[in-house]
Amino acid sequence: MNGKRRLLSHYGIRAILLIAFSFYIVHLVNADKLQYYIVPRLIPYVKYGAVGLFLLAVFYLYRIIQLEDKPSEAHCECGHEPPRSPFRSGVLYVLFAIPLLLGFALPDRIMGSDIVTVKGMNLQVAEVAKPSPVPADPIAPSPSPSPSPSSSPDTNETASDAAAELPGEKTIDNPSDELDRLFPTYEYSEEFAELGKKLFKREVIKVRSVGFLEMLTMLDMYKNNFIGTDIVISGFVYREDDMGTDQFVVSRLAMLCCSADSMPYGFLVKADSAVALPNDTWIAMTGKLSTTVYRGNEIIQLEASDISVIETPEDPYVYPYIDDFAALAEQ
Amino acid sequence: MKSAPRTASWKMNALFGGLFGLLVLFSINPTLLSEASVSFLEGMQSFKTMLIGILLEALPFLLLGVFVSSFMHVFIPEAWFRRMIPRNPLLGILVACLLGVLFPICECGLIPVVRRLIAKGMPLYVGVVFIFVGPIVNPIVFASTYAAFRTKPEMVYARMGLAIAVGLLLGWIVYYFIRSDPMRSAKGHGAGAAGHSHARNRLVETFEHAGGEFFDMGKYLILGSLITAAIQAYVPRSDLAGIGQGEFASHFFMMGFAFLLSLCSNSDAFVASSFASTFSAGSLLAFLVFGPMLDIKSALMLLSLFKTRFVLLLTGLIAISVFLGAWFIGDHYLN
Repeated sequence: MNGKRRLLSHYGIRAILLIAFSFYIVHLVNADKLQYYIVPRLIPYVKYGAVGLFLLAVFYLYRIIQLEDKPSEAHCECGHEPPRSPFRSGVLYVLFAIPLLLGFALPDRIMGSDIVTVKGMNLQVAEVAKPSPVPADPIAPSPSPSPSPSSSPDTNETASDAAAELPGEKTIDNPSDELDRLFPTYEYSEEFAELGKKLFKREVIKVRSVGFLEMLTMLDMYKNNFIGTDIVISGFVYREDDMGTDQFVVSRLAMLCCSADSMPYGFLVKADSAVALPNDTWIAMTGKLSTTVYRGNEIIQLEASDISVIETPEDPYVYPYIDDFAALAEQ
Repeated sequence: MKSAPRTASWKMNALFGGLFGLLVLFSINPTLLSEASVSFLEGMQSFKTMLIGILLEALPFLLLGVFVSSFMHVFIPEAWFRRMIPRNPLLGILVACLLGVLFPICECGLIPVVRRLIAKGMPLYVGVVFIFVGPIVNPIVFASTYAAFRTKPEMVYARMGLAIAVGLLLGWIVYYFIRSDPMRSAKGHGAGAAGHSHARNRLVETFEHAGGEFFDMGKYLILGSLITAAIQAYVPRSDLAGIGQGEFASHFFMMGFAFLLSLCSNSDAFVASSFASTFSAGSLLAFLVFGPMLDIKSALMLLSLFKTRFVLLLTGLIAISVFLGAWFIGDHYLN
């Protein structure tokens, strides 16, 4: 008798918890806020998960009804019995209840400056793409084979740092040679170099949500080739403590799997109207690309010519781009 | 006489885990409590976002794992499993390394499945290798590592290679040296199916097992996610990155970092690549191999699966081999 009541209460609590979880997911789907937490490609799995949770809840309800009718069907002895002591049971179910409470009690918000402060802003995307140094070719003009920006402060042409690719005596008499010289391809960065070559002569380059990271990487890798180009970009305003009153970062959060792995990326922006823009304001802007030194590193800075405040987009995060880079070049 | 302390309550394990986590937090940020009142509330929103994100991503796969495990328990006879794994230990280990291809799901779902497989007769060393190597050697992780390190594909091969090497070592040691059964026996009798009455509807049984296992494993998942989300939300990464810049320390640090962050193996390559400018390739490799093998969530779940001593042994072996392996590969092949 006691056993049956205990089991009933366990089943009951479990059913309630499971239904609450599936209900929370349904709520997020209805409010169209699932993408605040996870990558779009995983959304179907979460929906299946909600169905699974619901089925399990229904099962427990079924068991409750069954137990009422036939008390002899009570136990399974399969090693998955609920905990015996009320304390342990309490801890177990409180543990499950905590995410539910937080889920319903606090609003579902887009990640913004508060998250960026903890994770740290990435202003040097291309560092990731820098390949291992190529061994020096004896006839290459540059003494340093490693293409890191800090090792060539005297040249304004980072292109000349390209190692074994360039024989010193190549003359620049046709455009494709010129492009090759300006966009040296290191072993695996051809895609970025090709993209750069396609966008080279444009006066305006649009950086969209699709392929955001890849565009940022390409621009950062070949920044000296794009000085003076107008960049059209949108993102939210973020500031570090050591930035001037006319500086901020136009940023986006890149997500790969879920909110916990999101990484902030962006460009430093210089604008007189910066003071009027609080953190987390979403803006669409146009700015001329130039470079500046920030915390000892040479990075891109956009000199803003036009900034407008926009509505927070439905899908504020950016995701890695896996299609053909040629599509990015179509503006 | 029944030795009660053997099946140490998960309560104790959780308590120690929590205390250790607190210790780590305080050592990183000693003023944690004093600044706590304001920043705690501000950080609550971030904490919630991180926590829900982690759970939403993991729960479907945990659910899948427990249903697959229960299905196997109820519907598939033991003899079938014994026939599937090659007798030869070396071959068995290699097969286990590659089994990850079949189950490219979040590693959270893997543990109930392996628990069931071992109970059904899969040799221990095969199960151990599968648990640790499976999350890394699969097509999804391969693709995401490749995408994150587009211009350094050697990182992808180094990651897979080191994972398999560690797996071989683990499998070999477990095969030759582990004599006593390290499985934690579940409450009631063991998970064997021999004396199990199948009088009732099999579907009902499957659900009963799945439900029980979901709550068993789910508690570790949630506990681990709470700790991870707290670290992610309250401890600035720049603080963490400030430590461990020396060559020796950086490998060690990256492994600890991977443990604390508890990222899914599908997405950690991305995070690792963001550190490419400040950390050596070798230490990133340590991050990429150690993280999926051991992190807060999986450590807790392992404790539900194996006895504590065994888990500590595995932890030590993995830590040492990943450290040395990443250092060696980093020095010779990645620079």
